[in-house]
Amino acid sequence: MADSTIDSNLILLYDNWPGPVEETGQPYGTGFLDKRHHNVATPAFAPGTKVQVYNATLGVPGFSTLIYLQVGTQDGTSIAVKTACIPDSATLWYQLTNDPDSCIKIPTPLGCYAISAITNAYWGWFWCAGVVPEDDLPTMGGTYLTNEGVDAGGFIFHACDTIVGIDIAHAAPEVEAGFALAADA
Amino acid sequence: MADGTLDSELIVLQNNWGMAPTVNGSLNCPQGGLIGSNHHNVAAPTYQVGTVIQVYNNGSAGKVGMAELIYLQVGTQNADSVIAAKTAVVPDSATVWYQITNDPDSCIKLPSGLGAFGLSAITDAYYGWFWCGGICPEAFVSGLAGNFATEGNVIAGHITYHDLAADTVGIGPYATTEGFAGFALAQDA
Repeated sequence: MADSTIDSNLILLYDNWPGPVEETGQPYGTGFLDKRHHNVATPAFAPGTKVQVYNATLGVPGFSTLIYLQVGTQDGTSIAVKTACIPDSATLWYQLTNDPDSCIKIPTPLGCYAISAITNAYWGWFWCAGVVPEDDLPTMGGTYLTNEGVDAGGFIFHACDTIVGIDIAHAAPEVEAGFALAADA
Repeated sequence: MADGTLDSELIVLQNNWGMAPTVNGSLNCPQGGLIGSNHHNVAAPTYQVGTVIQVYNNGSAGKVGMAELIYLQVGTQNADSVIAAKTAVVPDSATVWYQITNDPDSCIKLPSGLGAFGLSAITDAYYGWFWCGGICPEAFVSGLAGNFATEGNVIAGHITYHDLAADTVGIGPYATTEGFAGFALAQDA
C-alpha cells in the first residue's frame, strides 16, 4: 500500500508511556530544542521525564505532552521533525528508532514523534500525547506519514514503506496492557 | 440487541485524551463545584480547552478514589435525546478536537476509545466539565450516581463507546483491535 499523510491538526495522541507529567511549561533555555538538553550525548533530564505545555496559537488549542527519551539506531532515512519513533531496544525501554525493520514490535500503540533531527544514541524531547505542540515547535505543523489506511478514529504506530508511521489496527489480538521488550522465555 | 445499564460504581475510565491533570488544578474542585454556573455550561470558556483536573472522591457517595474531569465544548447534541448527567459523549468535529456530541449518527467515529460523560444538561456550543478518567465522582456531582446506558453486551473488562439501540452513545464491549496510540479526526489523505 502506498504511503499517505494526515494533517497535524487532525491528530490526538494518547499517552501510553508510563509516569505522570512532572513539569508544566517548556524546559529551561530557549525551549525544547535548546542545545543544552535536546540532541545531546548526555541526558540532561531523567529518562522518561514528561512536561506538558499549552498550545494556544498555531495549530489547534489544547495541551501537549513531551517526553525525554534516547535514540537507539535510526533508519537509513534519518529521524527528522514529525518522524514517528517506537521502542528500539530489548534492554533499554527509553531507546527509540524510526526503523520498522529493526525495532521491538510493530504495529504498536507505544510511540511518539521527533521534534527535530537527532543523532544516534543522543537524548532529546519527543511529542507523546495530546495535540501537536506547534506553538513551541512550529515545524511540527503540516503532514504526518501514514500507511494510507488511517480512518477517523483510533490509530496505532505502523510500518510504512520505509519508516514508521501510523495506520489503523488490522489484526485482532486482545487488548494490550503494557509492552514487553522481548519474547517470553 | 436491547440496551442495558451498568452501575456507576462498576466503571473505571481510562483517560485517553492525552492531557494530564494540571499541576495547579489537581485535587482542587472549581469554584462553586464542578457544575458551578460561572464555568460549567457557559458560552465563553473560563478554562483552557482540554484542561484536566483530578479530584478525590471521598466515598461519601460512590467509591473512594481519584476522578479526572476535562473541560470541553458541546458541538451539536442529539436532538432526540439531549445530554444530561451520565450521558456518554464522543468527538463531534473533524476540525475542533474538543467539541463533543452524544449523537451516534453525527460524530467522528463509533466505536471509539475516546470519550467522556456529561455531568448535567448543557447547551449546544457551550463549555463545561466532563468525567474522563478514574472512578465516578459522585461525591461532587450527585447526578452521576446510578445506571449508565450500555449496549446490553458489556462484560467485565475493557469498554469503549458505542452506538446504542436507543440511538444515543453509550458503553459497549471492547471488540476492536490492537491498543490504540491516538485518535484521528479524519481519514488520511
